[in-house]
Amino acid sequence: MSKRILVVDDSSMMRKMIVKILNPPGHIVIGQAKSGEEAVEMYQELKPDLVTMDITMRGMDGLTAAKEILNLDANAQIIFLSNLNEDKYQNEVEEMGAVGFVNKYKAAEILDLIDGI
Amino acid sequence: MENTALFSPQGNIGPSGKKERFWEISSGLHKKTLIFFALLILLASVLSGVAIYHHNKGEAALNTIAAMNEGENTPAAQREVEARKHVGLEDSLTIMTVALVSVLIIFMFFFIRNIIQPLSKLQEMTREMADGRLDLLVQDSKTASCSIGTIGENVNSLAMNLQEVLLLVWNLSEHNLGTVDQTLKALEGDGKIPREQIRSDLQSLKAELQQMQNLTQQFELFDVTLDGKKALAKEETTKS
Repeated sequence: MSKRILVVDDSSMMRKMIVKILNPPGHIVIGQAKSGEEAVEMYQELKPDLVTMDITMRGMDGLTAAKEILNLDANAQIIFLSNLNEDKYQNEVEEMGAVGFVNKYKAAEILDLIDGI
Repeated sequence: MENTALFSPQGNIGPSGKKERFWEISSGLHKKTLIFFALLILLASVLSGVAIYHHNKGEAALNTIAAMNEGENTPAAQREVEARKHVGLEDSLTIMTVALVSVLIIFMFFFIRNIIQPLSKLQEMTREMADGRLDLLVQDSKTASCSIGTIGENVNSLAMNLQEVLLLVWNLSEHNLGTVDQTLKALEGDGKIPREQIRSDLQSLKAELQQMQNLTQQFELFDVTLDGKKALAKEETTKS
């Protein structure tokens, strides 16, 4: 099922890569944010079905931004996509109410997570 | 202004990759500086205008004196008129020079503070970044001058992209080293590994390696094209 997705990542290369993964199965990337602040702002504006969220970003990091988005909309669907260690953050993000955590080197796994929603 | 001209190509490589970026920079950049310099130039022209006016008036007055003294056109009287003319000219020249020099000094001050200093900072940072210090971010450059600030931002993006790619390579290697280690250990032991497991391990390795290739293909490379499965020098591909 096609979803409207907001991609949050401070690296333009990574945003491109994520878009390239999301587009073929028919998902639509409706916005790209470069920082946590931008992500919160764009979430309110665009009301996406799903957010992919980087963790290490300058300014507001992904964890804080996800918390803010979940405060605004408890039903927000957030998937973390980061280079940080999965085992270390998986629990934290799930407790927070996010859908899951995927390491960037196997970013294609987000498609399975999205299908599982 | 010269720095816009110098860095205008920057407008095409902004993070948004849009051409309008150039206008954003040039309009935002110099509004204040432009107003400031316009005022300075106005001041300088008013000062020199006043100086020239005084000089002309003085000369005219001297000419009338000379006309009045025409009757007794002694060499002494003429010399006096010439001397007074000379003094008037010197005065206005001094005023003009002072005005010009002060404008120049203020200009230099601005130039050094807004362009030279941030540029040398940027130079220092980029040199260290080129040597592998990706933890350095070009900071505070935004306040110094917008176009130099934008260059700083772009250098930061470059460093961030490089860092992301490096981390990805590291994570991927780490994950697959684990798999390879397991397989090696099993081979060294009894040598029996389920075929299925080897197949699934290799398949995940393949998927991840393909992803690395995809990522690499997102870059435009210098003198090299990634044509299908081969990395080729650009000339060769254009020849064939």
